[in-house]
Amino acid sequence: MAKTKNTHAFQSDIKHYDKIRDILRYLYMYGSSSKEELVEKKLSKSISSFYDTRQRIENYIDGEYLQEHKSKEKDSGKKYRFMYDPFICPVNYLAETYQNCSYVIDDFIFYFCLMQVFTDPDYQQKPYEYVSKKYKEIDDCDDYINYMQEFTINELITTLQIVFDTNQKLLEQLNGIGGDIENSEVLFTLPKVRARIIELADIGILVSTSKDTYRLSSDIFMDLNADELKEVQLMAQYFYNCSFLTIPGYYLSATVGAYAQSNFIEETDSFFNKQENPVFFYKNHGLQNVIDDDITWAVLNAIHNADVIQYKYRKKSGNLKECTTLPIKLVVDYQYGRQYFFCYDYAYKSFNIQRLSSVSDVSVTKKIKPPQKFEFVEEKKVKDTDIHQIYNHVYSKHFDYVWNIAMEENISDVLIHFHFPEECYAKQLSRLKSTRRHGTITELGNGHVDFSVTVQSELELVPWIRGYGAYAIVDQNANPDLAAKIKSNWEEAMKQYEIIQ
Amino acid sequence: MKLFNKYKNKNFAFITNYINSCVNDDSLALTEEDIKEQLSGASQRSFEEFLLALTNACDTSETYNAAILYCQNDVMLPLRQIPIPVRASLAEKAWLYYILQNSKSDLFLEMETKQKLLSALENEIDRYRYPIKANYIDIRSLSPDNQLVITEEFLTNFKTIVSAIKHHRRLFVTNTAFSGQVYQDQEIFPYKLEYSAQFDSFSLSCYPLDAKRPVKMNLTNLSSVKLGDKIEKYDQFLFDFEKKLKNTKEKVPVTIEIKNQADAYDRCTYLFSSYDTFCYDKGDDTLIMNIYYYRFQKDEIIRNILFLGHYVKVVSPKNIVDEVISEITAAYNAYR
Repeated sequence: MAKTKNTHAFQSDIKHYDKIRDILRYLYMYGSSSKEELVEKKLSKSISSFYDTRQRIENYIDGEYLQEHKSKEKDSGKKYRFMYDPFICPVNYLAETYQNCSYVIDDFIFYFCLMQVFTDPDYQQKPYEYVSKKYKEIDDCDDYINYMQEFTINELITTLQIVFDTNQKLLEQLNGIGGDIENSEVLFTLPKVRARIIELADIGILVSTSKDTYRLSSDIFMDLNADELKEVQLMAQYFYNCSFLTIPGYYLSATVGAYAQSNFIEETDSFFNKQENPVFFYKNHGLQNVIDDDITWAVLNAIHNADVIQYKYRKKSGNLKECTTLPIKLVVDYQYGRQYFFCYDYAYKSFNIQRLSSVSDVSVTKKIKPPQKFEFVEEKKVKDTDIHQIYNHVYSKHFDYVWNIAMEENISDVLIHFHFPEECYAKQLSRLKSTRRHGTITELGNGHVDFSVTVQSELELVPWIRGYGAYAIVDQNANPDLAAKIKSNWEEAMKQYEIIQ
Repeated sequence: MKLFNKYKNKNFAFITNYINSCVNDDSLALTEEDIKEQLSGASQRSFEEFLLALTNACDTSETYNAAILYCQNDVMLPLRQIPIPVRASLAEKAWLYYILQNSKSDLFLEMETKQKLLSALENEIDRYRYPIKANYIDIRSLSPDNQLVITEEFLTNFKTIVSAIKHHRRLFVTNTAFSGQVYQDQEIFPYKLEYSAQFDSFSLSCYPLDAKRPVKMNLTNLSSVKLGDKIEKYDQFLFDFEKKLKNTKEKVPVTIEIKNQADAYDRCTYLFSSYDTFCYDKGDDTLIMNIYYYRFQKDEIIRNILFLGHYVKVVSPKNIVDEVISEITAAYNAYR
């Protein structure tokens, strides 16, 4: 009788990304923490679990990026951090953490038996041709499959059992390693096969053609030659390193590589997906957003399907809050490199903007039903209009005149006078043009430039104005509050350096 | 539909590539030991059980073998000698479809290739499930002016440069610098293309033979880009170039103190997330951040420090402290 011991996941992998999200973020963004500090910050449960986590992370990404060093501070022990340097890290090494979702050996056997069932009809060689003369009976299952393109779940169960049994039989004949005929009955039961088929259809490797019938999803690279595949791969590598969503492109690059390896034989001595980037590197390449890619993906799906989601939201105090919202728009901030989503919050009955990096444990909920689901619009409008048109309208209404991401009830006109010295006029004017958002620039001559903009929150301009130092002066008559704020900021800075008391 | 899923585990990719390579060419097959070595990484006890199952070395009275590979002449080959089909997942297809709408995809793909992909993606039975659409996303650009315009000339120059980098060829370019000065037909060794997402611009990092130092050229300022001969001793060039870059990295970091107020920790770590930094708690609700930087990053660091305001104080080195103080004093005096 076959045993079922092989059902636990392999230790270094994890089931939920939430388990490593915070520690990855902390080591990349803040870095340089000792194990004691990580335990204190609740990023690791205990010193011993920290060693487990460290070993995991070392297993996930290239070890050279997780650096250990002895701090100069007294008694602080070894510290850890993820390093970043645009020339040394031209690719997003944190993306590699997504290749470590846990599985059990049953998943593995199921996947490889299944995928060898879906054979390309043009493939000439028979699967057991290399031994068929010696072991005549081996070809039987091949006749049964007969290169089918579609299978019902019941057909799949039978086929998988035949494939696995034949493999076991052959293994015994070729290597003298015996297997149990009952193993395939334990491995390929209806609930197990159905659950895994549904999973594969959900991620799009299989497609459902009719009730309980599945086929392999179509091959989008079929008409591409080897050179074209290389072009697609380079494009994927470029875009995934600089777009708001990394992982699908990272996966795609690996898929194209695997496809090329399968269809256009390439010499290799390693079979892992290796990130390559010999052509590009990236300015201000913050790697951190990839840590939230599964959340971003869940939010995008919710927007697409007009789903309500629930999740845990980490407040500034560090406490977690349960939220139920309807995501409407993904908002990507290029200033700091942070990502948000604009949503309708059912608890507050208002629109809100949420930081993606504060979200965990996302799931779709059906507990909010129409008409409550779209209570922010008239019921008739919901019936008559495409929901995404409504979303766009609602978002535009709230985000018109927003400088970056701060929404406010009132709008105001801001006037800032710039004065650039002659020697750097062209450079500074170009900088102003490339950071002006939606404002208007008027060149006045002699190094003087006026900048006017209508915004929802004056205060959101403060850091941008400060970045121009003495070159920018807020018009004290048009915007007295903003001018006073900037003035007091400079005063505070002067005190900090003890230039004034 | 989860992005993080077991079918994307690196071991699945490994075995797929391994089986497909062996089916094509059995001389690529590895020994049992080599397979174990490549797969084990930082080996752990339970992972050993996976390796045992994969190499059919389980105690079959307790569990079962994978029966996917078998051993012949010391190497492991697929039992069912048939390739594993490689398919893009829905997330990959949706992402690719979104990317193909971006005009920068023209920099990489010929129109015919793009059309083939678009039509394959549009004919997908599941295409209605693609959840990435331009109108679902608002990218808060720093300015509407930051939009790369791809002219015919730009496209040709870009492709020539990419080809030169890939095939280790030298280039001849005419560069009109920001100052207006024109450098005619410069012979250069290309290193890599730098892309700035914030400003949607490409720059060529290269080594002009007359300047004899690493130089960055904005691609929109380049004209008459021509492919030259192969660079002799390319690896040596790469080594020397990277060494020269390394020499422009300052040994002494900029050290700043950040107060735990008004989200300053968060804003500061995000703003400096693409720098080589490390932080530690000073106590007293203050974080110390050391920023190691290349000489050409200095101005941007000072701008960022001013941007962050009085929540951040530069501690060292003295020349940066003096420069920041001078900027702050001038700005303060402008409001008096």
